[in-house]
Amino acid sequence: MKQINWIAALQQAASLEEMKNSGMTTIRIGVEGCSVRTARCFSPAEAEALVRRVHASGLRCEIVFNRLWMEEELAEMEMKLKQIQAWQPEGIVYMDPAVFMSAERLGLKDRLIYAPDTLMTNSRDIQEMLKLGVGRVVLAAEITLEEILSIARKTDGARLELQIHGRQVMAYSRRKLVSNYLQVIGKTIDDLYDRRELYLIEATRTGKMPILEEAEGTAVYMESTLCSLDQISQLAASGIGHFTFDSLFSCDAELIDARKACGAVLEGADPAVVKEQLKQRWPDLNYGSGYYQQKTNLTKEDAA
Amino acid sequence: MRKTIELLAPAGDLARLKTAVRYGADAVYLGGKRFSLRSRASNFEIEDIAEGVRFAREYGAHVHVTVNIIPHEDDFDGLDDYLRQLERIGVHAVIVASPTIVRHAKTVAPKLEVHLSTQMSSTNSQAVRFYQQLGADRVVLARECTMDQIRQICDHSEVPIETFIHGGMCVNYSGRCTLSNAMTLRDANRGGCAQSCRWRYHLYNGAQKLSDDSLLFSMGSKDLMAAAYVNDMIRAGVASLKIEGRMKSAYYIAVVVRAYRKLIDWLLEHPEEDPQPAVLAAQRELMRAENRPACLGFLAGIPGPQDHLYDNAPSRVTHDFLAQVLDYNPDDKQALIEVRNHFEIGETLEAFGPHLENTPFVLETMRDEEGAVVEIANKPLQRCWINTPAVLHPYDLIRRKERKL
Repeated sequence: MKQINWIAALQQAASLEEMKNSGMTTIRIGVEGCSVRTARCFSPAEAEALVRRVHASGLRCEIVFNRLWMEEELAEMEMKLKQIQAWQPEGIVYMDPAVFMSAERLGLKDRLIYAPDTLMTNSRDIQEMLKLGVGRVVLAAEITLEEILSIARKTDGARLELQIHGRQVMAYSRRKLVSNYLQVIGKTIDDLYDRRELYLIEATRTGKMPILEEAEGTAVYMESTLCSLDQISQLAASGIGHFTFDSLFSCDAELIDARKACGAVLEGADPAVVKEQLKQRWPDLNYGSGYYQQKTNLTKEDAA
Repeated sequence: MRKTIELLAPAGDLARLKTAVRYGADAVYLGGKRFSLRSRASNFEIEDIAEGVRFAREYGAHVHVTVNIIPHEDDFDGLDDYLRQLERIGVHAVIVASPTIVRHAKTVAPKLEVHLSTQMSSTNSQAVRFYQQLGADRVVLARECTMDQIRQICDHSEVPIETFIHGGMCVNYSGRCTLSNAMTLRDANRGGCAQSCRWRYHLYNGAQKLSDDSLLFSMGSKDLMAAAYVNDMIRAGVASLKIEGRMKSAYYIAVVVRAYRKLIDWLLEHPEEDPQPAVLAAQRELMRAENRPACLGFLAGIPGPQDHLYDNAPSRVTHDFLAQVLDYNPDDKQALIEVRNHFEIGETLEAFGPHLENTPFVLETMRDEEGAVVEIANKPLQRCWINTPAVLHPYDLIRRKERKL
């Protein structure tokens, strides 16, 4: 089995050592003004210091730079990218092709990690992006395990990344969906942009779907927290080189537990038993298997 | 400043394609049975597309075909043949949302223009440049751009820019939404969108319910109606103005295309004059189509509460579509019409057409094809001869201001 890069979003600098001890190999850091939908956004000064600390601890460090940028922000974007370049992170996660263009100018292209949410659903498109010189591509959430394994066979797995733990984003809007609605019904809540407890329940269902509003827009998440213990052995053997754990709606401690659980399964523990232990420790997270076994190719007629 | 600007209209089937072209579209876009969003709503086999291309050519118009799924592993089968067929039958452009399909189209069907779909959420000129380098001949901007941003992007881009001016709006960045996948197992990015964004939701903050049961949370957006920005778009150098709505009726297509056609033509012919009267006239006409509540989208800034739909707002209908003109007899000034909705002698109706201004008239005589008097037209596709206020032409339409019941 090839060496795997285990990537954790970080909320607390104090968790670094324990993250490392759990088997995480890369720490992913959000930066104010550059990152959306990240576990935590640090100020640029904090982020720079954190990168140094991560490196000093022997871990790799990646910066989340995943905003979509508007025309008047392009100069600012490139300036921020230069600033981040000086921190020497091993990777920069991006969504907007404008970042690719700037990175190319700055000689940073091979550090780019293309994470466009929904767009990387097949091996051909992934190869196109890899041929352009990005370092890595993140697979879309809405593909099955069978499709993931097929993609891994047809591409350079060392340059593929897959989110294996945490809530998966379902929808991303530039609109302020929560505050607009609250305004209509005459309500307000404090610190809206820092709220991680907001969720939606569809009127005829019961599942709770987290909703996050930030200055740059609003995102809605799956009602279950992806947990890949049943699939981790196959995924680890597939050649995919990078696995991500996200804690936007949990915490560092839960990621550490999840990483340890993956390690236990890869060392031979029964995934069902390990998963049950994780569920007992984190009963509110509603662990699920995302789209691994669930094709989403029904038609309107099928659904009817 | 660009001297011409393309008016690009949707076509859900061949009949609507012809309507769009007759009523003034410079180009139409449609989807085939495969590789297209809204594919379930499409009736276009390759032979239909070929007929559409032939018809459009008679009017100097182009046909664009959506090949805009975000493909999964198994979705490429037959793609190259399909692209070659589209090229062979004379399709002008394909609208694409996959880097692979961009490259394939340029390789296997090089005569096709490749237009990058709004599914790719291009919000700036550097993204446009990226897709240009990939092979795109045109980029459809994300709906999230303001008018100022569109202007700047046009200034900074070498490839033509297409923007939406009318119709439904995804509340999320197009292509970045899988609500439908999660809630209905229908892939929004492969033609199965169930519009789960428009459903009703309770909103909670932890254990505290925030939403109002009488007006639940929803992500539905009001539709876009951007007549007020058409002049700015022309001056900005936008290449193509796009109307959304492949699911819409032929009547809707006729009214909306005609309104924008007249507005664009007037603005191009009167560049020094105050555009406001023409804009108001277009807006009045657009209200006569079957519209949901409308807004300006992102053109004036990020949409606020007033731009969302929180209740089950029905389509706003101000006029009923009653009949289509099939023939006209200049000797007795009677028109043969095909009935689409109930109406009766004595009512005030309105005729309009690609080259006919809105012309109100009182329906005084109506006879069936055998010459028998018809008091009430109430059978779908019934054919009748009626008195007319002016010379009518085939494909002119008859409507009536909605009756208050």
